[in-house]
Amino acid sequence: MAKQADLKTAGPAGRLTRRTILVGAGALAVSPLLSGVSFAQDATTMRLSWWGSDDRHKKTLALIQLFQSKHPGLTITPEYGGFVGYQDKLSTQFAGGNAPDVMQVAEPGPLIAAGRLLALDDYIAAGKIDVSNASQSVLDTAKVDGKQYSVPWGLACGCYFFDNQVFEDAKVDIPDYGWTWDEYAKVAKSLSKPGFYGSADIWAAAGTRSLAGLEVFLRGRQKYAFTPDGKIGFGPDEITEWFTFWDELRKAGAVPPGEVTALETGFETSPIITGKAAMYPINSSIASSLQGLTKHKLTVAPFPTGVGSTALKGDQYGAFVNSSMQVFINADAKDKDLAAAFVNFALNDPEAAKIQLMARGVPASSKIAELVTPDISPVEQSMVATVKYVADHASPGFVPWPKQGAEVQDLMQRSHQAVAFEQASIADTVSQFFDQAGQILG
Amino acid sequence: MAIGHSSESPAATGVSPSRAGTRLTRTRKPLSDNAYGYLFLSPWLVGLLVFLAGPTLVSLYLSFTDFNLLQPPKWVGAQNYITLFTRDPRYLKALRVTFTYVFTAAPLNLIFALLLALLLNSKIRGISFYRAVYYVPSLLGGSVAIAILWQQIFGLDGVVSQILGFFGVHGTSWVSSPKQALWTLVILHVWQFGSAMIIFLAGLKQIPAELYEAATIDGAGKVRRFWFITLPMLTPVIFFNLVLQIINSFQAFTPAFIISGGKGGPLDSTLFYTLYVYIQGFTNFRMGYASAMGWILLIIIGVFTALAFLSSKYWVHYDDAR
Repeated sequence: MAKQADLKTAGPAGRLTRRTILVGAGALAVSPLLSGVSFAQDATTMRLSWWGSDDRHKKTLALIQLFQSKHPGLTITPEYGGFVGYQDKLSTQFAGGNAPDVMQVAEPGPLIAAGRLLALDDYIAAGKIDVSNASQSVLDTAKVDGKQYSVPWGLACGCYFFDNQVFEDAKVDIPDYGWTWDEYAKVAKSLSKPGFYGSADIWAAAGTRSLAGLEVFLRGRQKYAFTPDGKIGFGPDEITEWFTFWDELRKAGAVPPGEVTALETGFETSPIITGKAAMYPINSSIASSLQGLTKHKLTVAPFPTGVGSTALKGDQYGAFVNSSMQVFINADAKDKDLAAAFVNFALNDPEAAKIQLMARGVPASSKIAELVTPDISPVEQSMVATVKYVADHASPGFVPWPKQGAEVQDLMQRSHQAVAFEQASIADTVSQFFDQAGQILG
Repeated sequence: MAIGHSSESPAATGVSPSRAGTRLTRTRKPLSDNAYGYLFLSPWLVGLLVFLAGPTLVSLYLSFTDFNLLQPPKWVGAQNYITLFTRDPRYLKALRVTFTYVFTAAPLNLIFALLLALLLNSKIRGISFYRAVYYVPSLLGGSVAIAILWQQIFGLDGVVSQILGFFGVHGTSWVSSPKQALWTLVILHVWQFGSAMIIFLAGLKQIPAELYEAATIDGAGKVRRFWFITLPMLTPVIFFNLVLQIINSFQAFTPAFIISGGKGGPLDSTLFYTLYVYIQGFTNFRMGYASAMGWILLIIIGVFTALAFLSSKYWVHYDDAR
């Protein structure tokens, strides 16, 4: 008792009564509302979210500055980070009704199915988003149920990066753009020596390309990873052939064993950067970021073709161009016109193009791509030429992934690991793949 | 007196009227004191109700639904629970990984912490400096930076491989091999012995010196003193640490998430239970399914904690019970 009395009389100035406390608590409770009110009277705000490397962050922040300078009173809040965990964070933001206005989305399927992303067809028709200089076939790859939900914020294709230094030292010629899988295997073997591998494996721990490479092979046979009604688009024969091709290279020491490939958590830790491999398959859009991590000169070439090859034989050109990043607008965006204006600005504004250069791959607008080509680095020149070669040779046709596509890609990733770590035979891995894919796709 | 403990109304406890009277006058003032108490507690109370109790109950409901985070949940009965145990090999794998981790990492951590506490319980110069130094790892251990450091140490050209290479053992990449990846995480956990060590140290300080003196006079050596004095006297502290360890290690998440790039790889070898909950809930949009997993984890932790408590009467010695 005495103690409490002491406390109460301790300082006459700081006398606590129930009333003062209630008033204080009330003020505290209302204060968020007050700040909310003052916010609403402020200038407009917009939130922009993306993933990428430092290079892309810097360029995108500069892009935001430029857009803000053209829209006085507008504040754009950037939200950016690496790829790992990006989609999970975004999904959670959508679930909480707190998603950004404009954003890159890695796995748009579930969000589109739930009606959370804005169909852009009206804006395109009204000329608010100008896609007249963009490739229609690439735009089509982003269509879901006939509607255009996104526009490509850059073009890319699956490609191989070459460490030119290794090729020079080994006196092996850099392959042509039209190289076959046979030639790929031969080059990979000829560059290998103990502890060093001709090429990185086709799967990576980050799982970002374990289905993309397969899709190139499948398209050579006029098949796709999925069917239009969302089932697996290939049979046990194709996938067995695929696994066997890589298993033989692994056993020959031309691609690294499982432990080395599993160390890669992103292109920053890829074997071409850690000095373990001379060739590296990934999406072409990371060219400048990848070059920034090594002193060795890098060049780019498309995925090998199955035409005229004995391994992974195909009867048409398999590689294809897609959007490296798709930019989406939140269906609940505060100011949809402003969001559309930003998308159009990012795609078509010449000044914006000079800032972005190739931060997200080749600009989707052919006019803009031509405009910036003189300003770009050698590796980016090589990337632009590669994307152009693939665009000129690609076979028509595209089947979009179902919303569980990313989950199937993770499964493909684990299947590759099961073979690479010799935890299961190829035959068992294949049958397990179809079992589990059937469950995922329902 | 057993009834008295349940402290309902004074009449029911059979307290004499005069004492009940003093109690009433006493409780009137504390009532307003209690209001202050609750007021000061309110940040915590509101947090508990809004951020813990609420979501917990909602997740119980969600565990019986098909819920993709974006559309309203659909009631599916016990389907999620049935699928978990009959049609999801990855779930069973996650259970195996988690149990292996808990039953190795938790005891090893305790043994290590106890050994260091014994060492640091000596009276040498600068002992507090050593104690601080040995505590540092557990300040850092849960952090992302350390998980990345671990990746380097146990990676292909990491320190461990190089040291082994020096002795002619062919090095491999420990973090990225399905056979060894989990053990690097166990080592990481054992390395974070600090907090358990501090509690052990406090426990050691509590043991009356006269017990040791008496035992020494009776001719007991160091080993016997440890087995017959230190260990029995320390059992309440061991018990406390054990319960904390069980709960913590069942919920391990960060190291596996960082080291495996969020996938629990290679080949699901570090697919901790909580990591699989996260993957299903936030990566695959199966929040109902993830909720069902969360509730099973709650039951598992509950059972093991209960087992620890039940077993405690056979091996934990409290002073007052003697």
